[in-house]
Amino acid sequence: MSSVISKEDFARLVRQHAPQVLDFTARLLPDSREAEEVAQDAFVKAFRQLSSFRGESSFLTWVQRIAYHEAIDHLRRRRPFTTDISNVAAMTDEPDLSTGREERITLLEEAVDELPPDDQLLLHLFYYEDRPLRDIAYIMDAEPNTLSGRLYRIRKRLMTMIKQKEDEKT
Amino acid sequence: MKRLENSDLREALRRREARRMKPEVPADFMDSVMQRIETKPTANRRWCWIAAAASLLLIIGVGAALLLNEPTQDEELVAKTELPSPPTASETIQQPVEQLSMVDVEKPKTQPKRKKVVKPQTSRPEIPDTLGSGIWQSKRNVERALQMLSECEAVIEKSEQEVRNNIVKATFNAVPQPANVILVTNEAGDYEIVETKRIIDI
Repeated sequence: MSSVISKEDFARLVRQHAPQVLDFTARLLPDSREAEEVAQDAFVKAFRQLSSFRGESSFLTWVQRIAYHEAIDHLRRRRPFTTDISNVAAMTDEPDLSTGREERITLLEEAVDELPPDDQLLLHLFYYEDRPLRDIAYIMDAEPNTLSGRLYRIRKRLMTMIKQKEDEKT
Repeated sequence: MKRLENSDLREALRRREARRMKPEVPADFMDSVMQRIETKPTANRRWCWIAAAASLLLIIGVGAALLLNEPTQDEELVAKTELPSPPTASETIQQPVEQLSMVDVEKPKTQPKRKKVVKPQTSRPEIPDTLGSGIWQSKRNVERALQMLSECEAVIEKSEQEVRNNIVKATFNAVPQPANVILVTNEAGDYEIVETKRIIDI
């Protein structure tokens, strides 16, 4: 057991960060029970590895990193977790969008919902929570440049999906 | 040319968040976490270590058994060819007692030459069918050890006699002696001071 922090202090941290961590795991695991279980795993693991926490990031970011790995492991055990980029590879440029803004945003919402959970999480952390790429890279255990490239591919994919949806409607 | 604007994407994500049901932290969430922290790590990991250690021991054991039971090239050669068997302890000890060696007074430092032990040449016994090669090897090693022991005993015995003879000679030379007197020693450690005339008589 770790002697870095008392159990009472850790309980306080759990109480403080549980909503964010649970929200984080729920983005990767739609099943609420699975998300809850993985969030608990992350906190337990965090307590046991407290001695390795060097304060390079916030405690929440550190626990989210653990939670991310736990969730990915969970998904891998359940089913293969891959990102389909076949449509992206064929693209050379972003297609034109001829629809109005309102309609485009609605289509974007739908398209984001269709992305793999991992990509949805990346978009959420970067565009919604405005987290620095360095933090996201730490959580997802990747290089910032890799994530930057990945964001670019996700955007291209979203464009393709919107274009397809437009074509379907017309 | 319209492109995917960041603002559009942010807006889409904001709307998406607004309609998304945020998960609620269950009441027993923290208790469950703290309860799991109290309990020690699962036994699964311990079992993994035990299994790994057992596997390692098994591999080492099997390897050692194979090494012990497999005769080496040397042993196979020994088993196939006939080699002189080592002399027994009694054979080594029962060396013929050398005759008295005459030591000249003018050359007291010369040492009596040792006789080489002549080992009887006999054929090596074949490996008995009833014994495994490992046991046969152990038996052969014991024989070798006995042979070496008897050789060592013989050397120690001889050395004692030589030392004794040297002391006698040194004592004899330290004192002025008549010209017709010499010291005679033998390998048994005995000595005698005799007159030259007597030697001639002998």
